Amino acid sequence: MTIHEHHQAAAETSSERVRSLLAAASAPTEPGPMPGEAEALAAFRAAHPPERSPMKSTLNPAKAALAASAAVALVLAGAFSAAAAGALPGAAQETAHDVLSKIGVTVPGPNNASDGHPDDRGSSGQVDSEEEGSSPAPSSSETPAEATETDEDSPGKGAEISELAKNTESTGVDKGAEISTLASGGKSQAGQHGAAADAPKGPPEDAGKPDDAGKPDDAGKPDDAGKPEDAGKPDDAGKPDDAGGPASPR
Amino acid sequence: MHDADFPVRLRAAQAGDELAFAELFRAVQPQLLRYLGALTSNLADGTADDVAAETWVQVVRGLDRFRGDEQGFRAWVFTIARAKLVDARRRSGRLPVPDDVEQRLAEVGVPSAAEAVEQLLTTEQALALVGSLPAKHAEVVLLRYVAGFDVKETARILGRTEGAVRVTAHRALRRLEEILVGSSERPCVTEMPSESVRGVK
Repeated sequence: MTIHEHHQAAAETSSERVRSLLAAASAPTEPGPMPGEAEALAAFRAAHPPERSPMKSTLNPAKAALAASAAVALVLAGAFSAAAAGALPGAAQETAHDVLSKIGVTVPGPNNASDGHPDDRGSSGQVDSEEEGSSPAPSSSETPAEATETDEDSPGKGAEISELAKNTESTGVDKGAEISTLASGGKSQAGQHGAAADAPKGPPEDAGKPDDAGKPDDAGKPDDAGKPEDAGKPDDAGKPDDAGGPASPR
Repeated sequence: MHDADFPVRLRAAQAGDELAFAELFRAVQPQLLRYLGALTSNLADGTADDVAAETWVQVVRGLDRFRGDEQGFRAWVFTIARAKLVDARRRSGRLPVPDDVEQRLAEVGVPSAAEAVEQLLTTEQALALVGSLPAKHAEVVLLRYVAGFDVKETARILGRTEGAVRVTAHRALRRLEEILVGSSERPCVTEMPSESVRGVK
């Protein structure tokens, strides 16, 4: 029923004056924005942010919270498993070790599986004397170059050896033995089993021996390295490891 | 009054369409302001606007959950407005009805009863006359003949029976007639204290 119909119903019991009054009270309004429209629209905008107005999320909030909790639990479980296995990167493993140890859970530290490598990765050149003293001596299997690099006293030693190689009056095996002795700190026995030239040719087991292959006088003298008479010898050629490390202990 | 596009507008507004909401607002706000203005003329200035604003905030909050047709939507808005109006009256703490209706009508420029017989009233004057009625009478007249609700919807908004609404409407129209013809019988609240504005719930 429209307002006009309501007025008609009122007319049945009211006078013309009352109908006029009701008509005036319900007269149409001017089109356009109404008082209070700005406030109402502001409230509407606040309740319907633009980003969510085009479509509503179909995900139930409870399900979303459950999924988020499950994801967090999975991540934590994975991290804990990795920490327990000692598989995290060094810093993360150390953090996990420290944090979990406070709550009574023991997980490996960052270097438990490092097989004796130092904690300070990437700083082997700065090993202090205490660590050096506790570290095992270079084994015979290590190359002379490694032994030299880990020797704290070695700075300048290469230059000293080079100087010796250039200036020594010794020649041949004696020169090599002298250089090897200096380079190895007296450990080298080079030259004590005869001259290189006397070494038997061909035995494979001897080919790898530093004292046979080394030709110390050649290896220690960069200027001599290119001499054809030395480089061309079959028993010398093809042994770069030996050429570079005449002082390998035997 | 009846808008065939109302269901589409309602769905769009519920989905966040601001323009659709503005159209719903403009279809209801004129009658709402007249209803509130007539019933708050004895309260502080701007009370009707404040109550209307609070009403629309409440409408926005519940818009997603609303289900119904256009008349149902309008009835829902007026129901909220009436509850907000009761709150506003409680806050004001003022006696709502003046004891001199003729003086009030003069203040708003309403012609005297004798003059009203001869000339047309403006909307403001007509609403001032309706607002001078006891609150329950004024409410029924405003809902039935200004906002356009039928007896059933009016009864639902007011929380009364349809029979009570019919009786109240009849009495209200008769009282308006008495005012307009300059009857010696004035619409004084002292005659019907139970229907004063304080009785609005």
